[in-house]
Amino acid sequence: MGFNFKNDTPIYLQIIEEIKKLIITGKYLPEQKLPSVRDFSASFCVNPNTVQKALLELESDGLIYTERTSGKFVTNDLTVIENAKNEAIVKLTLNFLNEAQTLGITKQIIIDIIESESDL
Amino acid sequence: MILNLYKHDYKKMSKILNYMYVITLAFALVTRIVSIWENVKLIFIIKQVLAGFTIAGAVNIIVNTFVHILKNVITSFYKDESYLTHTLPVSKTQLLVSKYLSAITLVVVSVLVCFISLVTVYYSPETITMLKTLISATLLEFNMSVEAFIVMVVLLLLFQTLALTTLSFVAIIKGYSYNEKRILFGLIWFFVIYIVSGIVMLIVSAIILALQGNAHELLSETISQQTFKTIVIVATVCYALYSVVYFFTANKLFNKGVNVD
Amino acid sequence: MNVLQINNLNKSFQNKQVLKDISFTIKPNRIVGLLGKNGCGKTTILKIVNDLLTKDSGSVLVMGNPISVETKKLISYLPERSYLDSDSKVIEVIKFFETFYSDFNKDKARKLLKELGLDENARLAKMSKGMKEKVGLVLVMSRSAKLYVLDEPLGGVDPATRDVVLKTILSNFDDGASMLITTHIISDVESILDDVIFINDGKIILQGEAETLREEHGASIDEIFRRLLK
Repeated sequence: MGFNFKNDTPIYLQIIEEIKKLIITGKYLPEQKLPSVRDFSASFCVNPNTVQKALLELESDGLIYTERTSGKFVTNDLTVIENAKNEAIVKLTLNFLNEAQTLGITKQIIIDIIESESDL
Repeated sequence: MILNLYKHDYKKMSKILNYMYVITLAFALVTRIVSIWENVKLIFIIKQVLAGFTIAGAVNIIVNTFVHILKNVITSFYKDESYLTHTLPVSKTQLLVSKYLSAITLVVVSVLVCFISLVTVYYSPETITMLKTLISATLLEFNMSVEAFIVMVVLLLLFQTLALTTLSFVAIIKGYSYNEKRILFGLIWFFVIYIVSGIVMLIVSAIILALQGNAHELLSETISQQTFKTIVIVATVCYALYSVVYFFTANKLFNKGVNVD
Repeated sequence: MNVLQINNLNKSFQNKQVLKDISFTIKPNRIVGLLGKNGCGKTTILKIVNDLLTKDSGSVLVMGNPISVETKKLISYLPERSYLDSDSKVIEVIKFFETFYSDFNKDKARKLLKELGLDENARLAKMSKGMKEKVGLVLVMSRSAKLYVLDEPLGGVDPATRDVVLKTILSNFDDGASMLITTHIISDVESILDDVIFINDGKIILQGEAETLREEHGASIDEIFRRLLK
């Protein structure tokens, strides 16, 4: 994978976003075992301690859980995943709206565009 | 561990020399075979040329032996390869002992190869008799057996070679303790120590001869058998002692640490 | 116990002082970047840690030991220059390492060679610079050392190889071990560092945790370094 990180945000936050994305899009299914810290670290090309920090954060959010001996798994609680998904959508939309506002685009124009691109 | 280092060092130094051994021995052997028909004038000339090649090969082996010994010490301790040498989990003393032992082995093997080559080319009952007569003629006034003379000379040469090899180790290590002109400083130290050691040896000889009441012979043209023996023995013992002293000096200097290129 | 502890280290060549009062520590399980321009003294520090240069003053301790045979067992060092006998085959070098380092894992080395697409029967003399660098990396990462010291591991590699090299480094160092990496191209290794030490002209000008510095300055480590040198 080895994606490009943004320079101004801490890397662990970017990794959290990245792993969340993999979970909401179903790349990692509920109750699926996650790669080890080392594997994540190698595939993202980031520091293992940074991955560890990101995973702890995801665990406290309830998106993943630890089985004492066998590693980390995606939660089986579908509502948590659903919430994360909604949160992501809201966040994405708000970001977009903010951007649109700075460009002076009104809500009505946006709605018009969405309706005309009906196949979306 | 030292055995592994020794093998590594010996293998590296002997790589090119092995080819020279084979070539020189081959020349010697061919010379010998050709000499079966040396009654034919043309073949006799060819034999002389081949014998010349063998001797050149032998000289080449001896020169290259020392070149490779010195080159190996310098590259292994101070050039690119030093990054491997000094990061191995072995002590500086082990590194040095390995260089020392592998150098001695190389000299012995080279000398043996040269000796065998020359014997192959020139051995015949007549040449041995001729050599014996020649040596005993010179030894006549010393009243000494040929065998005893040869043993004394071989021992002397052995310890002299040993001392010079160890001295060159000291000189290299000392030279490379400077930040620049390292080879030059090495050469200077080599000659300084060599001359001082020589003077010490001379003084010791003079003292012992004086104790024997033969000191005047040092300035006369002929020397007695006893004086000759004394000088050879003193020199041999001195070189043996020097070898030990030089080795410990090299080891002490080396253990202070290195500054590689 | 600190994996590496350097206190007030000084070193001069002739009249030029190349290291001025260098002090830093590396804790277990950390990847530390020693960052600075070429010729700033990074390699000199690594050479002192690896017994290739003598120090003028100060102290260097590896797991509490002064530089000695003991510390050489603990450090796996990748020098910047190629130091292997180019007449040898890769497998011969592997055997050499196996003989001398008790923590060298030959099977792992062969596995890594395969992963990196290197032929173990090839002679080093016939390999490109990049391939030789990979062989060096395999040798170093096949040891289970306490401290890995990598001098410009991405020195001559192209961007595609860069990721392969970083992956090899990240997936092969032992748990609890630490790593000291030098580079003059910070952006190459920025994402793998726990701590950074900036060096300029033989002096440490800034050191700290990478994420903290990024947050404090609101900029990448690369950017922070550029600003510092302005």
